[in-house]
Amino acid sequence: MEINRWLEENLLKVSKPTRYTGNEYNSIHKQVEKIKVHIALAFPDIYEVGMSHLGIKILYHMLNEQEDVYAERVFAPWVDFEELMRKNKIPLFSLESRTPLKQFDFLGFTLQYEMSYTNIINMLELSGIPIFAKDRSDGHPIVIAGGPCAYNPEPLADIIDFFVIGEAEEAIFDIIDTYRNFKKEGMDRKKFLEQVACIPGVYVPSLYDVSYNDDGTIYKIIPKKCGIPHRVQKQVIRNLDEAYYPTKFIVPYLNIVHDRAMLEIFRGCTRGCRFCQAGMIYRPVREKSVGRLTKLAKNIIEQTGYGEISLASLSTSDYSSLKELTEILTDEFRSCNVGLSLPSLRIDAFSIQLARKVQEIKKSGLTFAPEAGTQRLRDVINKGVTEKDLMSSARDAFLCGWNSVKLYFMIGLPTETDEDIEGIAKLAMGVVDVYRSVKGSARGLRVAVSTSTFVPKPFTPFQWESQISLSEIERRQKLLKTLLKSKNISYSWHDGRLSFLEAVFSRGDRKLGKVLMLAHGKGCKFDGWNDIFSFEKWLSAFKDAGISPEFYANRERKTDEIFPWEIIDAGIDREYLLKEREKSKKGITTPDCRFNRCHACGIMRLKGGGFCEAQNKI
Amino acid sequence: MKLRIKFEKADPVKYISHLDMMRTFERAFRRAKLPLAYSEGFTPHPKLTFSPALSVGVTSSGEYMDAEFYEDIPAQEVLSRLNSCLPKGLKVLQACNSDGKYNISQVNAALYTVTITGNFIKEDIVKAVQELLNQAEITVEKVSKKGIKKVNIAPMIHSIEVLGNNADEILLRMKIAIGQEGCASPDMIVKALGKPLSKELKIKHIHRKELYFIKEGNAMPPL
Repeated sequence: MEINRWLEENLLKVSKPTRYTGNEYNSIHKQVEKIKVHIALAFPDIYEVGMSHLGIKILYHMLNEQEDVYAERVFAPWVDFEELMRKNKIPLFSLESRTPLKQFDFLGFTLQYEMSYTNIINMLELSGIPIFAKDRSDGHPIVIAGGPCAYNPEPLADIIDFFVIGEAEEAIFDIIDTYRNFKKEGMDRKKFLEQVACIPGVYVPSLYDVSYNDDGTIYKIIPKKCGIPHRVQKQVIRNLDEAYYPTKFIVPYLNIVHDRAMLEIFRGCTRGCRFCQAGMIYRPVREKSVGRLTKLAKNIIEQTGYGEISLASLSTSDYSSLKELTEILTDEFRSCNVGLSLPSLRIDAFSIQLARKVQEIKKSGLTFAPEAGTQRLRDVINKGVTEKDLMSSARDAFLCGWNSVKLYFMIGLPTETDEDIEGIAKLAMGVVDVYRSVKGSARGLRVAVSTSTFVPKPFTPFQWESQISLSEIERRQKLLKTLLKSKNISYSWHDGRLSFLEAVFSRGDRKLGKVLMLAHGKGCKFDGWNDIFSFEKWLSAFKDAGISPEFYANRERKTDEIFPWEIIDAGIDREYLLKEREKSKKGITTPDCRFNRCHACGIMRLKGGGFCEAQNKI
Repeated sequence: MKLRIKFEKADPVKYISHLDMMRTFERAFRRAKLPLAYSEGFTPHPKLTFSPALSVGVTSSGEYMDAEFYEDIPAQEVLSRLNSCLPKGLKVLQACNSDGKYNISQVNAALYTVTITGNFIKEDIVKAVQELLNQAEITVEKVSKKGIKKVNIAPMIHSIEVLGNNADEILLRMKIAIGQEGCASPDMIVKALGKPLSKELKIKHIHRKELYFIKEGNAMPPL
C-alpha cells in the first residue's frame, strides 16, 4: 500500500515517529471490508495530547464493541510530518488501518480547547475534505464534533455537519442506526442531516437561521424547517455506575501527557464556582460505586500493565467514599508497585491526610488552587477556600515531608483590583513563612505560582462579564511578578494573548468562521503551542474579516442579550445564572447543594427529572 | 533470582525508542503478573537492565535484558507468560539464569546485517570493503550535542563480509564495536564504503543479529 511504503521511507526523518505508527498494545484492528460504519475519532492536537483525553478513549472502545463499526484514531500531525505529507501529497490517514480520512463515513472531532480550531481546518485540508459543510456532498465523510467546546458550537457552525451535545454515550448509537438506514436506503446527505437533527442532543447548524441586530448581537436563532427542534438538549447518562467503561485501554509507546490508567469516579460538580464552565455543564453529580470502581481498577491494571492509576473527576475530594476507595486501591496495588494519584484535591486536612497515605507508594507534587488572592474575591467567585485552609494544609504537607507546592490563581476575575493581586503574593509569601516555621529555614522549598487569565465562559454566572483588556492583563502579570520576590517562589503565567483569543471564541458566533478560515490561510495552527502561535497573524485575520475581537472578549453583555450558545439547553437555567451573578456582585456565597439545600440550577428538570439526587432533599 | 532474557524487536516496533521500549517491558511484566523485583525508595524502579540501545528504525533478533525476580520462577514460564502480553513485534526468545555471567552492560560488539541498494555491482562493493579493511585510519564525522567531532573508526570494525546479492541489493554482514569505549555504526561504515566509489549507497534496512562481549580476542555471546 502506498501510505505504508511512504511511511517506511519517511518516518526516520521526523521527530517521534511512533506518533504515526499505531499498533500499540490493545489497539483494535478490524478488516475494513467487513465493517459497515467507519468512524475516525479525530483529536485536533498531537498524539501525546489526544491520547491523554479520556473521552476519546471511552468512545473508541465503546464504538468498537459493535461488530460492524470500526472506530479508528487520528491526531494532528506535528509540523515536520505535515511538511513531508504536503510535499509528497500524502493525505491524512487513520492510525489503525492507515485509511485516508476521505474514505471514512464519519470524522468526529473532540473539541477540548478553542485554540485547536485552526487544527481542525488544517486536518480537513490535509485530508482533502472540503472545509465548509456546504461544500461536502454524498461521497464525503460526515464531519461531527463534541466535547466541552461544543456547548458553544457557533464559531464552527459553517464547518461541522453536526454537533453532539453532552455525553455522547447514548446519542451516538441512535446516530449510527440512522446512518445504517441512510446507507441502506441511499438517502441523500441533506435528508440524513434532517433526520439526525431530531435525535436528542444533535445540533445541525445548517438547519438554523441566525439573524442579527444592528449592534451585531443576535436577534433570533430559528430552525429553517418545521420539525427541527428549537433548542438542543444536552445528553446525560442516567446511571453512571452501570454505564460502559473500558478496561482494555490502549497502552501508548510514547510518554504521553497523562501516561497512566484513568479511573473515572464521578461526573459533575456542584461546588458552584462561578467562573467554572465544567462545574455547570457536567451537572448533575453522578458517582460510581466503590464496588464497581475496585473491579474496574483491577481489570484496567491487569489489561494495561500501567504503573500508575489516577482517579478522574472534576474534584476528587468530593467523591463520597474517597477514603474507603483509596484504602482499597492502595492495598490492592501495593504488591505490584502500582501508584495511585489523586488530582484536583481540595485544600483541607482530610485531603492532605489522604494524599499522605497514597504517597506511601509514589511521591508526586501537590497543587493548591485558591484561584483568587483575597477572601473578598474568593467570595465573589464562590470558591469556598480560606487563607486558613491553605496555610494549615501547607503546614500539614510540609510536616509530611513535601517541599514543593504549586499554587494556581486566576487574574482578571470580575471586580479584581490591585489589592487582590497583592493578595496572591501575600498568600505565596505566607506559604514560605509556614515552611520556615516548620523547618526552621526556607531552604529547599519551592513554591510555584502560576496564573491564567479569566475567560468568561458560556453557561456560567459570568457569561455576561467582559474580559479585561490585553494591556491590563499584561500589566497585572507584571505587577504580580514584581511582588513575588522570594527566591523560593517561581512565577509562570498563561500568555494573555491566548486568553484574549480564547475569550473571543468561547463566546463567539458563527461570523467567526470567516476569521478561522483567514487565520488558517495565514498559517495559524497549533495555536496553543508557544513556539508556533502567532498573534500577529490572528490580528490580521480579524482585520481582513472586518471583525472586532474586542466585541466578543471585552464587551459586558446586557442581561437580555440572546447568546449564540442559547440554541443549546445545558440544563442550567438562565435565571439561576443571573441570580448567581447578582450574588457575586454582593460577595454572597452559595454553598454546595449536595450538603445544603437545592439552589434550583435547573438540572433537576432535565429530561423530565430523575437525574439529580438533590431533589430527594426538598 | 536473575534471568537473562533474549528478545527480538521486529518491524512493527522498530521506531520505538530505547526508553519507550523499557517502559513497554515494565508494563508487559505487570500484565504477565510476573514477580519482578523493584528498587526501594519513593520512586521504585523495576530491576531490569537492558543491552545497549538500538537505534530507532533498526530491527533486532539479538537484544537482551537482565530481569530480577523476588521469587523463583521457571525460565520457560517467564517466556510464555511474557509472550502472551507483548505488543506485536516484541518477542522474548530465550531465557536462563544469569548467575555467573558477565554483566549485560559490558557488551561491546554487535553483529549487523545491512541491506544496501544503489547503482553499483557487487564487485565494486567487495573491492571497497577490502580497501576499507586495509586502512589503518578511517575518519568519520560524528554529530553530537556538543558539535561535530572527527573520529577514527578503523579500530572499531571487527569484520565486514559481503554476502549474496539479488538484483540491485547487496547484503553486508559487519561486526563492529558498540558501547561506552567507542562505537561505530552501520551508517558510518556504509558512508565510508561509498566514498571511494563516489556513489551514495542507500541503506534499505539494518538488522542487529547478535551481541558479544569481546575480551582478549574471545567473542562471548550473552547467553
